[in-house]
Amino acid sequence: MNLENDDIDIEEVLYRYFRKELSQKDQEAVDSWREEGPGNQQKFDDLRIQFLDFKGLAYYQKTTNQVDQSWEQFASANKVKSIVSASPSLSPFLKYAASVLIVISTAFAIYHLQTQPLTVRLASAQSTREVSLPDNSLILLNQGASISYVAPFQNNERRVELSGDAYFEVSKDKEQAFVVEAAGAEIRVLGTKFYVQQTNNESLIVQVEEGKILVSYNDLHKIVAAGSAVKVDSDRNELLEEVDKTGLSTFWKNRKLIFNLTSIEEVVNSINTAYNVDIQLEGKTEGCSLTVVFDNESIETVLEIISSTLNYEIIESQGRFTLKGNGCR
Amino acid sequence: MKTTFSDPARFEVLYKQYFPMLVGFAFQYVENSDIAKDVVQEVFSKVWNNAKNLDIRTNEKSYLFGAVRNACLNHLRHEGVKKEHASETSRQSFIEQEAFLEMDELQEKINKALDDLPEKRRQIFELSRFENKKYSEIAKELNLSVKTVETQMSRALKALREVLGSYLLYFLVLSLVFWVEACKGRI
Repeated sequence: MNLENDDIDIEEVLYRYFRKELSQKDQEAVDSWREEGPGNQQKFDDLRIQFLDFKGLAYYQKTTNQVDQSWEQFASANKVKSIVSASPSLSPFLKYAASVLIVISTAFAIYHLQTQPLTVRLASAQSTREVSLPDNSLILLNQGASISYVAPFQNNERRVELSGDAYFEVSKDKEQAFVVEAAGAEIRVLGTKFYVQQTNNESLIVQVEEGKILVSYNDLHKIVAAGSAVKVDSDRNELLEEVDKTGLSTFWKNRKLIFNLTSIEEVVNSINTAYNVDIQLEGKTEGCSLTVVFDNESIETVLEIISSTLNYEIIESQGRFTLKGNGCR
Repeated sequence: MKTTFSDPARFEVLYKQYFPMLVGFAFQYVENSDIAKDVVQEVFSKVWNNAKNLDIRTNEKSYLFGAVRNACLNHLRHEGVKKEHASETSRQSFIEQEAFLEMDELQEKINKALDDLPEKRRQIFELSRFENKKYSEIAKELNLSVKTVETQMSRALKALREVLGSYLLYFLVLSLVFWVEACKGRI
């Protein structure tokens, strides 16, 4: 094969070369062609990358989620440790949440076994999970949340890093402050109960159930007392007092929503967020408001109650609900 | 987009989830499972050690695949240099990438290039690429002569090369600093 021949399409020949479809003789012809000049080698390399990328891309498009065991090997080489158990592989649409689950071997065992400080990580991916810390504080992690801390606690404070939503019941210890780091903010307490919620746009809401906490963000500080909430707005660099009358920020833990003369639009918005559904409103909504407590109700029951209270019609189509009404005068 | 690689628990999830896939992916490039594993392990090490400085344009998965692809190409480049007595030409031809395309970005580029091909040409090319069909099989399936298939393939490849050919080089312009640092860094 003479590759200098104008009738020969070099791209096509190289493609077959990379696919290993050429005869020995033709392969050699390509190899010597490559050595004839930098231009040829350049062309060869470009096409090789392109060929590999097509293979790589075909593979990439077929990738699904799997779980691997070689973490320990990697972790020891990189001086991190973890106490995490692998989950079985799950269907792809569960994506992020699903692949690993988790924990809870005892932080205590490690705490006592190790003389070296050790980073401990606890995570919950598929459901909520309660974990306890060496100081007996309890943390309920929402789906997808994780915390990590160094054991034993250092510098006379109980410092944990949080990602995701969690509910804390911090055991009282006036000597050792309990500090939560989340989304660039710091929550400092001595002993109390509070929720931390991180919304998609990275703003953080801390809702206090008992006691007092100090929330710090950059050089902003705010003391928040029981019954109140503070929102860290990272976009505007502000700490805002929040009143969550509906109980939306704590719904994931207690499955409770409170509506008090709340407009139907707001009710539906809250329900959509809480239950992670997409209920649509249709028809008239004038004057329609609700006063009700949904305590651990299923979404079906919630819809039934709304529909019978406000005389709305429930339309279900392809797994999506629509509430249709004629207003409430 | 700020990465979550620096969150240890998140990193662990990603590691467990993507390690085997990335090895399989790397194998497409390096065709050796030990090397594929090493490459992926090294990418994770770099990501872990530089987690706080990384900036992702697409998403974590796409970033990891892009980083592995880049590491594979670098590996092939080094291998090429060794084999060919480190000639100046081959050293330049596989320019080492400090910044890289994230996989979704590459996918978009390639899909766009394919979209620009005439219908028939694209069809022939994809039968060859995706279904790994021989020219004779494609010719039979589409009721064309083998010569026509060959010509169409050649034109498709040429067009793609023109569009994609030097995307590696162009991309260097957008280079980010971190990967340079990662290479100089702790590993």
